[in-house]
Amino acid sequence: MISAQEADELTKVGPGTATGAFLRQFWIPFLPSDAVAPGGEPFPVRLMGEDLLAFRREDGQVGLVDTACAHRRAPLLYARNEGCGLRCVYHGWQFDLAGQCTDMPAEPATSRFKQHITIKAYPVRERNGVLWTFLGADEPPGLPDLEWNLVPRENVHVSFRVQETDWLSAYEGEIDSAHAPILHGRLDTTSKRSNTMAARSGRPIFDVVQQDFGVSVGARRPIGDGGELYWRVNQFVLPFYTLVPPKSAEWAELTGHAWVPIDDTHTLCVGFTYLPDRPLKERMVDIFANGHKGRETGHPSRLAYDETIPHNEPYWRFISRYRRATNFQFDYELQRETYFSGLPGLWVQDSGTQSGATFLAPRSHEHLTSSDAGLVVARQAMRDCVEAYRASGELPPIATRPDLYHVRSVAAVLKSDESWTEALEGFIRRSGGAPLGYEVP
Amino acid sequence: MRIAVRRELCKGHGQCELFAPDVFEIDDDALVVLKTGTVTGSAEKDAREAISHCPEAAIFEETA
Repeated sequence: MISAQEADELTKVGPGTATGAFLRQFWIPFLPSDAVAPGGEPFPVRLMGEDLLAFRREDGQVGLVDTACAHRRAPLLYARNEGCGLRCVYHGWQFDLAGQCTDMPAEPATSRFKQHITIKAYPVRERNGVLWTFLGADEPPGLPDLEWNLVPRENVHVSFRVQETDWLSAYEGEIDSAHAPILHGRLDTTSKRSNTMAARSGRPIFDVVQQDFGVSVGARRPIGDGGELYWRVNQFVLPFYTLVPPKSAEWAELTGHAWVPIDDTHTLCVGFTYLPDRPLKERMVDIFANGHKGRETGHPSRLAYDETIPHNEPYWRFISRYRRATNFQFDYELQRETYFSGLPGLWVQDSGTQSGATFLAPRSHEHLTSSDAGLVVARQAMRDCVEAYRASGELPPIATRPDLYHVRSVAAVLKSDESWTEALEGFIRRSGGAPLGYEVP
Repeated sequence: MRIAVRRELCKGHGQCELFAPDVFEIDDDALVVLKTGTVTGSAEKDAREAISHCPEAAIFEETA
C-alpha cells in the first residue's frame, strides 16, 4: 500500500507535476456542448491548474485558449468572439483556434509581427454533446470509446458540477461503495424490499482485480440461506472514470462519473446515466433535471446551480448552491425524519462528505478498513502508472487504445462457488450499445 | 556609421522598417533584413531611431 503522503502527491496535477504529466496523456471531457454558443460569450475553465477559455466560433468550431492576450495580458474573457476567433478588446489583437495571432489593428498595415505571436491553445473534439480536449504535447490518440458518450443522446443523461475536492478523493468516493447504504440511507422508506435489496444493506466482502483498463472491485453479499451471492462489480477505468452497476431490474441504468481535475483542490464531476440499447424513461430524466420533491438526486438539477456566481470564476455555470459557503444546506432536522445524513440529496451527500465542511484533512488522518480494499488497489495502480511515465515515458495500453474502454459495470446473482471474474467477463467486456445480456437482480 | 543585425533575436515587430525603411526591411519570414550596412548623412538619424525602438535589441551600431 502506498503511503498517505504518496497518495496526497497524486492530487497535485498542475504543469510540471508527475501526476499532471501522466493525466495530460488522456483526452478530457471538459464541457457540455451547450456551454458555448456560436459567436457567444467565452466560457472560463480551469483544467489541471491551467486557466483557459472555451469559445465557439460563429461557424460552430470550438476553441480552447489561454486567458491572457499575448500583447499586454488583457483578459480574453472580455474578447469579442468574431470571425476566426477571439479579438482582445484592449488593442484588437485577434487569435484563431490554434492560438495564432491573425490581426493587430494598431500596427502598421505592413507589419508581419503577428506571424510570430501565438497564445496557448489546445485541440477540442465534440461528440454527442460533450466537448473533449487533450493537454498533452504530443499527437493525441483517438477519443476513448466510452459507451456513455457513444450511445444516442436520448439514451443518456450527462451532468457537470464543480466539487471542492481533489480529484482523487472524489474518485475514491465512488470506489468506496460500502458508504452507499449508509450515507444515502433514508428513514422514510416504507416500500417492501426484495431479498436482493435487503442483502445490499449487509456488510460486503470485496475482491479486487487489476485489469488492462484499470481495476475491477467486486463486492459480494450473501442472499437468503447463503447458497447464492449478490455481486456488484464497479469498474475504475484509467485515468479518472468510475462505472457503477444497475440498481434493479426496473432501474437497469448504467451510471458513473469522469472525475476531471480542475486544480489540486477542485474537481469537475461529469456524471452519466445511460441505457445502452434504449432511451431513458422520461420520468427519470425529469427527476434528474428538476429534482425530486425539491431534493437533489443522482445528478444536479437545474435548480442546483448558483446563478449569482460571477462569470470570471472558472466553471461559474457549474458551481452549485450546495458547497462549503452554504454549508451544503445541511439540515439537522432532516436527520430525524428523512435523510440519515441530513444532507439534502444524493449527490449532495457525496459532495458534502468528500469535500469537508470547511476543509479536507490530509490522508494522514485516515484509517482505512476492509471495505477500502478497492481504494487501496486503485491508488497503487495510479501511483504505478504515474511513476512508470515519470521514469521512462511508459504509458498503459489504454492510453493509446480507445477500444480498451469497452467496459461495463455489472450486478448479478451467482452461485456461491462460481468465479465472478469468469462468469461475468462476457458482460463486463460488452459495449457498443448491446443489451446488458442478463437480468438485473 | 555601420549597422548590424542579429536575426536570431528578431521577432518581427517591424519598428525598424517603420523608422528607417531605407536601411531595414521585414522579409517574408517576418524577420529583419539589412538593406545596407553603411549609413551616412541624414539616414543616420533614422537608423538610430530604429535601433532605439527595437524591442528585442536585434539591430545595433557597430563600433569597432
